[in-house]
Amino acid sequence: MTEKTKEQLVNELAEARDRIAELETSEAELKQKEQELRRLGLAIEQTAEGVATADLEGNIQFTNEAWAAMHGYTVEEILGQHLSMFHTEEQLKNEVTPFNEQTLAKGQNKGELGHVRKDGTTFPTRMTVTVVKDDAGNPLGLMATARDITEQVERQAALRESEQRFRGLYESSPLGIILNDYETGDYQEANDAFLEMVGYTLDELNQLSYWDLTPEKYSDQEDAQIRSMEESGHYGPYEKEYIHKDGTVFPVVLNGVVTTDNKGRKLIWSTVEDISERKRAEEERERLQQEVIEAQKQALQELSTPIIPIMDRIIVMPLVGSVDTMRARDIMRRLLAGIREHRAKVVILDITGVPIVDSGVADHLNKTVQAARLKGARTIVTGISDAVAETIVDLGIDWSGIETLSDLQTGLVVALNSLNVKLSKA
Amino acid sequence: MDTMETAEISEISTIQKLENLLLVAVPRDMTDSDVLSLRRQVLQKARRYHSHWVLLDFSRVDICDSFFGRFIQSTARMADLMGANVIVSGLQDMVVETMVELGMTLSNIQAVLDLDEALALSRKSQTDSASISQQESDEQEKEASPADSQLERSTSIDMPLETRSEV
Repeated sequence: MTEKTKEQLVNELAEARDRIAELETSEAELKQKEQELRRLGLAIEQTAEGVATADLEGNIQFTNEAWAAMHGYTVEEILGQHLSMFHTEEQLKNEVTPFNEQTLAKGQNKGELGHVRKDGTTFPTRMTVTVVKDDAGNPLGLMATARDITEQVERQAALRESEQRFRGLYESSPLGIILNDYETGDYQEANDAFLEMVGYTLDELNQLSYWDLTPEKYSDQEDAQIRSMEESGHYGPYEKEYIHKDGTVFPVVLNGVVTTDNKGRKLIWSTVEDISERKRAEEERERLQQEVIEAQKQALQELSTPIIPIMDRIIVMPLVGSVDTMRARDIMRRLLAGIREHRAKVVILDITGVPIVDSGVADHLNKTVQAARLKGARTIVTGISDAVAETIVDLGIDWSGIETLSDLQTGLVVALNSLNVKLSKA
Repeated sequence: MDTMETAEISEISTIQKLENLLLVAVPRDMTDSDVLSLRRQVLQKARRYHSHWVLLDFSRVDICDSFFGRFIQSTARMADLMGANVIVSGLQDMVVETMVELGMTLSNIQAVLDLDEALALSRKSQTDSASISQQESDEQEKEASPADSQLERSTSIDMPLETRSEV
């Protein structure tokens, strides 16, 4: 044995120590790496995202709990199997194959893929598949993350259905529906019903000035509606008019609500109803109503103010009911016409049926008597009850110019006398 | 139609004598000067014919104004001074209504329905005055009047110029 010199031993010791130091450092590094790996492992294990790794042929090397649970398996059941176990034949053909082609071509791919569970039910996932490479760029295997997006898909479907439903409502609505920018008043949307109503296209509408569509006389009302929106967030029912492209004006009623879009811009949704028909019907109804009222009034008047020619040149006009100014005018008119028609020289105006005789009525009667005189007829007022007589005197009404008698019989005798006619028994 | 033509026409047909009546067919739409001219003519003719009655007939007039009222009143007063009575006739319904509303009642002027009535009135007054003098002379021969079995009628209404004797 060659005896090593002391120097050699010291060197060997130094080398050994260095070696130990290196090993210790390596060990520490390894431990650290180990810890990192362990943490990574825990993260992957515990995440709710499904994570799976496979070799380039698709043989499963690892899946986390989430992935297994998502598909209704335990991790043990999956190991050793192929990734294709998670898809139906159809899915493989239609979705997975093209997806994989993309993955291999681009190195990573994202998308929605259909999966199948252990119990045979299918569900949609959102997947990201990555081709894992080493530092040199050599592909080592595949890593896939998956999320069950059943809920999202359902929500989207529901949203779409709802959107369709409302779009259907919007498009087929007989009411005009418009969306305007709150600040500028520009038309964002207008359904066909509205466009047809006004005769313009959406573009044309946005070229018009405000008063091209709404008659200027509504400017005060427009301000009021804006105020209402500021205060309560809605307006209407607001009746106004629109000017059609062809110049005709038609009545409409509007209702609106302020809303904001997802960018925070204020908008107004309004419904617009063409009420031409309704207004026409209303006017017609009112006209008819007026006609009926007029006819009734006429009938009533005729009923209560007849003229009875009782003898040649003598007419009797019995008044029944209260006498207001309008009726008084009518009575006078009828009387003058009656005098003319019957060429009456004496009028017996019987007021037995007039319940109240006040200064107003007395005045009317006075005028009637004067008018009759100007037509050459003498008027005798009969039928003054004791109550009426009291009222007249108490009110200080001056009837000195009017001939009055108590009843019709006496009035008739006087009338005949004035015509120089005597009645005598046969 | 200008004033000249109106004047000519009024000369011919507006004013006419009928018995002791002077008929004045008052035209519509008279101007101030028309009115004055008409009034003057009426008075002239009334004097010429010694008319006892002046009949102002308003059948052609459908508007009443205050003017209208003054015309009637002033003509009446002037005619009255000349010993003639003024009657108005033919006032239309609407005119009467307005007059009464305005308080224009012409209370001191007699009004009749139409020309027939005016004529009857003038004839009646003639026979009345005749029968009054008759009555005075009949005063001596007073007779009791037996009750007749029929309706007696005043003849002045429907029979022309017949003197009636008081029974």
